[in-house]
Amino acid sequence: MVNNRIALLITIFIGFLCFFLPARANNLNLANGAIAGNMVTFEIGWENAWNLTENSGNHDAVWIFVKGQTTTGSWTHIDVEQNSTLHYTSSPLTVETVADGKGLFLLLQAQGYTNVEAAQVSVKTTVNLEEFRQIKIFGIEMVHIPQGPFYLGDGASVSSLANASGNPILVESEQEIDLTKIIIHNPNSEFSPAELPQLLPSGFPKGAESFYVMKYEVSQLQYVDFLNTLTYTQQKSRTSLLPSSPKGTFAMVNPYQPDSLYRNGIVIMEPGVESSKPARYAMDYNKNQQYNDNNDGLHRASNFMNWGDLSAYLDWAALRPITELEFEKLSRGKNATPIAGEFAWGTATVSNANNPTNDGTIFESVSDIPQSESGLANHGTFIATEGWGLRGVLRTGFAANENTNRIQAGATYYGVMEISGNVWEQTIMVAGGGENFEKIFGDGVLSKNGDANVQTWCNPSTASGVLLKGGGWQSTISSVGSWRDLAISDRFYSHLKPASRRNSIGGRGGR
Amino acid sequence: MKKIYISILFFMLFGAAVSAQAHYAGGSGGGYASTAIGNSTFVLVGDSISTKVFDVTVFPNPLTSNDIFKAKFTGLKHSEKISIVVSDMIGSRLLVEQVDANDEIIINLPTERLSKGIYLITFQHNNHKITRRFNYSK
Repeated sequence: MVNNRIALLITIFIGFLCFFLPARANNLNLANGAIAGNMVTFEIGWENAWNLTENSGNHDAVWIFVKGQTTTGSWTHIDVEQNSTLHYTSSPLTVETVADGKGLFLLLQAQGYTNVEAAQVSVKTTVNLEEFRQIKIFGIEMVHIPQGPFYLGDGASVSSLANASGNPILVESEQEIDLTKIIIHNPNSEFSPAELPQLLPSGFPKGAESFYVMKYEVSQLQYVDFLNTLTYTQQKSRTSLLPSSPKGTFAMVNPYQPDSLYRNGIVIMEPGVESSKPARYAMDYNKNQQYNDNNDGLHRASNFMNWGDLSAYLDWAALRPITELEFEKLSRGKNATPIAGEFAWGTATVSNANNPTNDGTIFESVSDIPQSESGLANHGTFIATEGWGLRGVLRTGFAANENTNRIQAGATYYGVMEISGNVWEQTIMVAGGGENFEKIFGDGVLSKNGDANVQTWCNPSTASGVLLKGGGWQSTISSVGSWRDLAISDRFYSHLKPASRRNSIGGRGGR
Repeated sequence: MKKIYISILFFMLFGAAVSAQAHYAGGSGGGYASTAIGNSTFVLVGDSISTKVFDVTVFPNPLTSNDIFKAKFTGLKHSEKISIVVSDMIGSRLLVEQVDANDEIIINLPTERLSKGIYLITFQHNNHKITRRFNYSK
């Protein structure tokens, strides 16, 4: 009997530890890489991995891709074998390959959720890695959005899509949609919304089929690593200031307002030389010349990204943009009845994230407590005493910790973070030429001038057919049916083409 | 009784999963990381960049069963603790041991368990790891 009691106490204690001890590692870690012939091995760990598919839920995964630096100094994308049996991973992970071999997904094999700690991974590539000067492995946490019907529009938001009666539309398949039966509900009275074409072709991703989306917005460290694989000419296209600018120059901000960082810390660490040597970039938000230190805001969302920047990043990472239909599906969830003016977390009220804690660190969060049924989001305010709020971006995933629920984390139905607020998301619109977009993935290779060069993607220079969704750190919230940038069905800015770099625009991709 | 305890533990670990669509948790850092292999000035450890604090070479390489396998360190003080892990290319561990750093140490490989091929040897000092590969032939 005594033994039984001891066993019971031990059981409860172990369970308590599993629930309440704070996580130690970073959200995602790759380490200890090595190569031999065509094989690359490394360790991977990430917090809060989940696989709830047998309970009608979804799962997360990490998108892995490999780049190699040739002996001439240029970087190239390295394909991996498409046969999953040629790769290896230790417990608790399994490998999911993709048809184009541009990378692979790692995900939990068993049901449940756990922290993955230093799992061993071996990936077989299609080339001899020993011929390269350097190999880099990249990992991006993704969320799987399952197949299933969903409602488009909420019957209230500005310029939202609706049926002829002004109500939400049930999207049940990827079949073409007759847009003459769809209206722009509550059209923007200040700027004329982009006119709908006659037809939305079957090739346009509608969100009825399954897809992956990045769990978080592109971070500043993510963009730095991208820049460091480009040529001088490509870097010139993907930054605001010349790569030859002096060491310490903030590279993405408005060149006419160099001190207005809006919490962006991407700097030139080593100036480039036109036509011969690319610059090296790093994070130095606190300007102490200690690059990528623990106070530099490495994981803050990348702002000052125009469409050319986001589409180039997604092409380079072998991902693709998401469409405005997919944006609503991943936010609202399958079959969920829309709520007028709802935000990513499924209610129509919001708590403002305005007061940073552990600023700039990997623990960056806010002291603001979300009110009942009001998700936490980084957005703006007109209230005079509060000014414009935070005036910049927060860490991707700032609101979520190991014990948060959907409201507290400001998460979507499927667990995608910061869909409402922080930075505006750049999605493909059903109008303005965006309707011709098809599910074609980036191939990891940009044009010589650093642009995405994937068929059917919106033009990187004009940004025609691109729609800003979800609002940003400066977005204010008005009543339902009025100015309400963070609402998931809002299309207030359908007239605007994000060809310029703005301090509140970033984005994410899918596959 | 044992079954009840296992049930309690299972519920505490996975109970919330029964009704949840997704897992709405997050942690520190972000959902992105990279790691580099090769002749870089910087070594990416997880998602923060740090300079190398020590270096190591292993020799001879290639290695045969008649050779004495050695490692040579720089940047370490004598008697600092180094952990060593030898694994094959699919991650199976063949040797795990802790040694005191010297300028040069002998690594006692379990040659009876090695077949011809490529292996990885990882040296860890505090939070810093370096991996080298070596070619073994009988």
